[in-house]
Amino acid sequence: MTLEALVGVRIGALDLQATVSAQPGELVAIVGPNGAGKTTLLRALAGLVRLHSGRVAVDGQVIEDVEGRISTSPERRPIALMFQDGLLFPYLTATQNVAFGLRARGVPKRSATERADAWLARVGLADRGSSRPAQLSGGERQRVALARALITEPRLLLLDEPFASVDASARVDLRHLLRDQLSLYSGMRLLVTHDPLEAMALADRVIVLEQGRVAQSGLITEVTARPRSPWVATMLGLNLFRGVATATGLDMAGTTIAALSDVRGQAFAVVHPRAIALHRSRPEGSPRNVWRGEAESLDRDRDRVRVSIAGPIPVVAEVTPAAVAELGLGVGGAVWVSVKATEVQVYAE
Amino acid sequence: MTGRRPPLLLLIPAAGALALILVPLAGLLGHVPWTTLLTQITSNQVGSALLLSLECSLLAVAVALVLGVPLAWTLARTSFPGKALVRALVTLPMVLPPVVGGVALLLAFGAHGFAGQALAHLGITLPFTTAGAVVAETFVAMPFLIIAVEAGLRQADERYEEAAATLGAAPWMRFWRVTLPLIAPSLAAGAALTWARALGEFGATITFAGNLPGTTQTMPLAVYVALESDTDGAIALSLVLLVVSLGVLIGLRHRWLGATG
Repeated sequence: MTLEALVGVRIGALDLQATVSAQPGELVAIVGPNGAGKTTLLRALAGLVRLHSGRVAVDGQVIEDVEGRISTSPERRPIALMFQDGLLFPYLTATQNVAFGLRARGVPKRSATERADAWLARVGLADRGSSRPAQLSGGERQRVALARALITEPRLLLLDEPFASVDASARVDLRHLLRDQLSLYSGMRLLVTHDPLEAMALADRVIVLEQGRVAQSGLITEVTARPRSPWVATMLGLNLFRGVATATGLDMAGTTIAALSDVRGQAFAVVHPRAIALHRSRPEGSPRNVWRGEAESLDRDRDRVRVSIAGPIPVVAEVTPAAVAELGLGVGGAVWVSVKATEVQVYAE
Repeated sequence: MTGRRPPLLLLIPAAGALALILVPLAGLLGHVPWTTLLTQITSNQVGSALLLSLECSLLAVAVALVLGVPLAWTLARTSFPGKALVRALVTLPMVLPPVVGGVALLLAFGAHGFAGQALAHLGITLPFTTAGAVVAETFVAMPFLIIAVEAGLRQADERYEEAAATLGAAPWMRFWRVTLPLIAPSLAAGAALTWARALGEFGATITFAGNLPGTTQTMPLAVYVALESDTDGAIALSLVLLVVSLGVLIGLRHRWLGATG
């Protein structure tokens, strides 16, 4: 039981070429900036967008193959799609919405209704069966949408930004519910999100999509430890550098950041913002990387302050508000930056 | 609103326009034989015209629904060469003088018309029959349904149909269980307009179906005839038609007047 898909789609400015695979029981997150083609990828898998090239196989059964001229219509695919805004039918009750997939498969009304009510109870909406979507909150609507998608027992469940239309307070509950329900579901799941935190909370594996191409894929731990694209690094709040690894460090067109590494050749280096120290004057002692910069912006992020510093090597540092006060740091203020060579993680491209 | 007084040069013709609509209505209402109204409406000739009108207009709505909704769907959801031309043709009966429509119907479906001869082989005759009155009313009124339904389809979010597809609904089920419920308000509005137009149809009906009491003499035709002999009957029938028109207008007020408050 697997998903093997090579998806080639061209729509407008988007040229999507992505390989996606998933194992049973696995949740794969697809992350990437807006317009990267994440939603189009899901729609193509669901059969709502025709492939220009490639093939899709679920459990070894080919459901679309451009060269082989095979194309299965959406209603015949063992695939369910949970839409970003739920898309519950506004003129049906919650129960009728959940029962829709069963009715479409010819299940008699009575037993479809019973099973739908049982599913509503599973997602914590036992008493809302007769409500219409307009009477439900955003979080409740997404629960109904989840039940509606899962009741048909699809082999593959596609989730398109399931939390995007839900306000922050309901998001945590919905995430817990989703995790609980998905752990009971034996099929494969793909989750599209633009929020890496969401991906980390739910997914086993992640595929980073940028401008229609897979920029990076792997286990969550791998991708967070070794980002391979500026977008991933930015989303994770990490400093990412790209250059040539040498005996002394990573050379970036003349500027070198010192590091201790055996890697040689084209490489990335990542530095956590908390590993970057700021000083009022040139620091004494051991740090190998020391330079003078200028604070470009200061952003409060919970109990820390993220300081963007322009200079020979532009970086973001994360320090305590107390440190900012002690440094007397403001926008445009000069500051000394130091990074220990041991804090610079270098890995080959 | 600026609060300044609007110029009289605009107010006077505006009042004139309103008067042009209200004065005839007042004239009609002023002559309604209120005391004998019920007897008038239930009298033989008036009553049969009323029943025939209801029958023909409701059948016309039914035919318009069965044929017009699929055409509206085709116009809204598919693309084909000549679509702009088809759309223009669909609205033609709205601007065509109804009597011209009646002449055209007669020439096509009459005893010597090509369509009429084909139907004659099947034992079907349309001119000067009740079925002919239904065809004439449908010809004139169906564009209202098609336009309303096509607009509804264009506004409806197609992603609901996609959601239904991913849930296993085949195209026919998507149409019945998703598309039609989504456009129900447009469908109802289109049907109401179509019904009102069919009920008031005069020119095409009298030309194509004639003016045979009990068979093709619908209310507007009966009003015209009764004006010569039975003025009170004509007025009673006119009042019924006016009430129906007002009813449709009030029923659809949110569609047209809602936005202006």
